[in-house]
Formats: sequence, structure tokens, C-alpha cells
Amino acid sequence: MTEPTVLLVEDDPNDELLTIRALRKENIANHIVVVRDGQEALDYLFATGAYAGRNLAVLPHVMLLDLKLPKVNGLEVLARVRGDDRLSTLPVVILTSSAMDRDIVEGYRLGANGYVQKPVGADEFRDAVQRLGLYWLLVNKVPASS
Amino acid sequence: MPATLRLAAADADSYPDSDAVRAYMLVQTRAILLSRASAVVWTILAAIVIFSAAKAWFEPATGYLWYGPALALALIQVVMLGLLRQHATTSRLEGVLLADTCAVCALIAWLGIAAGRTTGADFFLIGLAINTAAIVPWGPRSQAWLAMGAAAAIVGNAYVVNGALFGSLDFRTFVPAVVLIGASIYTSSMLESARLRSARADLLRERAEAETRELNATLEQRVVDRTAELRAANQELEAFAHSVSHDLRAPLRAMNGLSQALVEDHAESLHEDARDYLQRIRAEATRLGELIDDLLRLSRVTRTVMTRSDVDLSALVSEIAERLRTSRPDRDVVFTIAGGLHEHCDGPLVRVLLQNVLENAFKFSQKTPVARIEFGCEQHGRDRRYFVRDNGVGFEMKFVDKVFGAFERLHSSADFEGTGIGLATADRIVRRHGGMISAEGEPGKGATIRFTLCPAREDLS
Repeated sequence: MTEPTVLLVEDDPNDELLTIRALRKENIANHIVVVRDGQEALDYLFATGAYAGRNLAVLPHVMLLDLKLPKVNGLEVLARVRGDDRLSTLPVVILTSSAMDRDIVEGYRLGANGYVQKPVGADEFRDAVQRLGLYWLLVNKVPASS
Repeated sequence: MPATLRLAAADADSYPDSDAVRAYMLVQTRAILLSRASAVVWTILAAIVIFSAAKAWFEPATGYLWYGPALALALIQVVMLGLLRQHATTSRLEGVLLADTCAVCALIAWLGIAAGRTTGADFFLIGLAINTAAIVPWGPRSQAWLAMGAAAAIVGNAYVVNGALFGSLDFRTFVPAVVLIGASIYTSSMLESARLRSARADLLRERAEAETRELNATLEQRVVDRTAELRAANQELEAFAHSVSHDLRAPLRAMNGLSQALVEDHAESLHEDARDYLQRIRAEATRLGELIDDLLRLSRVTRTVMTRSDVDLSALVSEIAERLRTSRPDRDVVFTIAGGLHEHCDGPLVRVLLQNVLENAFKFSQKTPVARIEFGCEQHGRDRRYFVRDNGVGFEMKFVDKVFGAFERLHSSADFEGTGIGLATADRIVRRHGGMISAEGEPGKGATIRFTLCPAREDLS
């Protein structure tokens, strides 16, 4: 069995640092792939560009997806993921600052598995990320990689 | 100034339908001439009648006999006149033609009489025949009446002609003929003026309609433009809120998270003071976060679509009070809530309103040993004024203007936490309902917030 992987799509270096720190603190995820814009996320998922040659069949256990991203925004990434049969089973959790109803509705409509607003408070943020990690990596079951 | 008057005053040349305007001007000019001619004829007629009457007085043998038919005909013309005025239809030039025909006939008759050839009545008959022939084909009912009048005139004239005066030139024979001429011209001119009025009314109505259409088109365009502008403004606001929500939070989260990381990971190398400073930074960052949240809530209150339904305010207040009580079990707070208060208002918005007002009362009475918070309703004229009264710290009335301002605070945050947005939000919700909100307070005695949720009834009637 492959090591549980978290694909973190995050352009803010501070959020990246804090998210990774929160996940590491609880020893939830040792393998975290960070991509810093929407295009890089798509490259990783479709094994193109810098990630050409990556085994497409190995899906992350969860993708934590920010919405406001350079190049290709989070909702577009989500739409592309859900539009591809190979990636349709990939769990996607939107982890963003936005609490706009529009984004939440659109996120679910496009097939997100969850929507979490990044709390401003340090404890709350760490708590939220750790719970997400616990749930999606330890509690949740994903299809076995072929 | 009524639209019709404004239109009448406007220059007819500026009206786009120039054919209608030209016809209208022509008719008007002729009608004025006709009515003047008619007045002259009537004056002459009156003089003749008076003269004839005087003559008849002194010569009774030939006297009153002639006035019977003349007056009967005049009466018929007057009756016709009334009918014509009622039934007059849209203006055409035939009215003018008719009057002109009558005038020409009368002139010929007059000349015939003057030449001593006839009584003039036979000429006048010819005129009436033409008159009748001219008007009947145009056919409105009023003109049929005119034709009947003409027939009566023929009979009357025949009587006069065959009665006693055939071939002679007696002054009295002028009387019925002149009465007929005058009446005919007068009738024609009245007919014309009735048509003229009707034409002018038509024209004015057309112009008013055109103007209304134009105005409507402009209005519609303006509504479309305005809606587009508003939509754009709303979108901009939405984008702004989105950006505020996203971009302002991220740095705060970093400040918070990194301060925490610093405290946790490097506690041993940090001085006590340093840890305190970091704690303060985190507290401030958190407060700024709350401020952003409140601001977003405030802007959402302004933007959400309102739907009114029946809302049980008493139940809502009880629910909020219960929640407040459990949030601070250590506090001794007595809620007095009037029962059975219902209002036709937007449920979610009014919930936010009551929440803010009650939280405010709850907050500012936290230093009162036994806090009393009362919710009720006063009938004020035809308005229902709801109130939330507390016995908290209150405020000085000279600061009343600041109570509902966003970010305005009457107490230091050391005494009472908060962002100063609660009552500003309440104010917006009340205003969106078309109601009024007011505050009253006294330092140390407490504060009362009063609000209505309907536009004043007087305004509705």
C-alpha cells in the first residue's frame, strides 16, 4: 500500500507552513505534496509538465484545494478533475479563506467532498487542519490504487 | 401644470405629425373667421327682427303671422345645435366647407332679395339642398339631424313663399329667411367649433400619448440602465467582500499561526515579556478577524433579498435569551418577554436584528448585579414599537448619534468587548424593513432600543 499522500494546493507560503506544521504535529501525514498554483496542481494530477512521468494511477488520499490560486483558480481545477474519469474518485476538500455562499455552492456543485473555511484563529486553524487530516487519511477509505 | 395645458402651450410646429398640425391650424383659422361672421349675421338678424317686430306692432294686420315659422325654425336649429355639439366627431375640413356653403347660399339669397326678384327664400332652399347633399354622405347622426332641420326649413320657407308674399318685396319676408341664414351659419360654425374642440382634444391626446410613450420608453431605458448600474455596483461590492473575506484573513492567519508556532516551538528561548507580546499580537489579530467577519455580516445584511412572512418575535426573543443565558451561566439575568408578539417581516434578518440588540443589552448589563432585560411592544399611534430595555451601564444622550454608527463605540474595549457593528447592523435591518430605530439611555441606569418593522402607516395611506 502506498503511503497516504496529501496534495496541498496552496499559494500562500504562510498557510502552507501552518498547514504542514499542523499535519506533522499530529503525525498524520508524512507525505505532503505541495503545489503552488492551479496549473501545477493540474500538472501533478494529470502527470504533465514538471510531473511528466508520474504514475497517474496513484491518487492522493485527499486534495486540499485553495480557491484563490494563480493561473488556474481552484474551482477550475475542481471542474477539470471531476471532468476526467481517472480522477473522478479523488477526494477533494476545499480549504479556503472565502466563506462566500457563492463559492460554497459552486464548490459542491462541481463535486467537492467538503468545504472548510480557514479559521483566522491559530488554535482553530490547527484544529481544523488536524481534523481534516485525521478524517481523510485515517478514517476515510479510498479505492485501492491499481 | 397638467400635461394637456403644457401641450396646448407648446408650439404646434414642433409636433412631429405635421399633416395633423397643418389641418388643425387651418381649421382653427377658418373657425375663428366663421364664428366672427356668424356673430355679424346674428347681429343683423337681431336688428331685422326688432325692426320687423316694431313694424308688426304698428301694422297688426300683417304682423305676427311671420314670426311663427321663423321662430320654429330657429328653435329647430338650436335643438340641432345641441345635438351637434354632443355628437361632433373628429375634425375634418367638411365642417368648414359646410359653413362656407351656407354663407355663399345666404349671400346669393340676400342678393336675390336685394334685387327685388324674390323673397330670397327660393335661393335659400337651393342653398339648403346643397347643404343637405353635402353633409348627409359624411353620415354621423348629428348630420342627419341637420338634414332633418334642413327639410323643416324647406317646409317653413315654402309656407312663407306660398303664403302671402310671393313676388313682392316686403321687409317682413326677410325675417324667416334671415333667421335661417343666421341660424345655419351659426350652426355650421358651432358644428365646426365642436369638431375643432374634438380635433384639438384628439391632437392633444395623440401628443400626450406620444409623449407618454416616449416618456415610458425613456423610463424603461432608464430603469434598464439603472438596473445595470446597480447590478454592476452590487457585483463590485460582492467582489470587494470576496476579496476582503479572502485577502484580509490570510495575513491575520499567518500572524496568529506564526506567533503560536513561535510560542510553542521556541518557548524556552523566549522571555516572559516576549511571550506576553506575542499573546497580545495574537489577541489583536483575532479581534481584527472578528471585525472582518462582522463587516462581512453587515454587508450581507444590506445585500440579501428580503421576504416578509409572519414571524413570532416573542418566541425568537425567548430562544435568543435562552442561548445568552446558557453562554454565561455565572450571570444573574432576568428576561421579561412579552408574549404573542407577531410581525410580518423577514425572519432571518429580524433574527439577526434581535440577536444584536439583545446581545448588546446582555453585554452592557454584565456589570449590573441583577441584570434585567425586557422585550415588549408599545402601540404608538398606528405604529407598533418594539423595545429592548436593560438596566446596564447606559449611555449619555449627547452621544446618541453614535449608537448606530458602524465602528462607533461608547465604551472602551477594556470595559466591554465588541467591534461596534452590532447596532449598526440592527439599524440597517430596521431600515430595510422601512422602520425606524432609536435609542435612549442614561448613564448607570440602562438603555432602551426601540424599533418598528413596518413603514409608518400614515405613509402607506
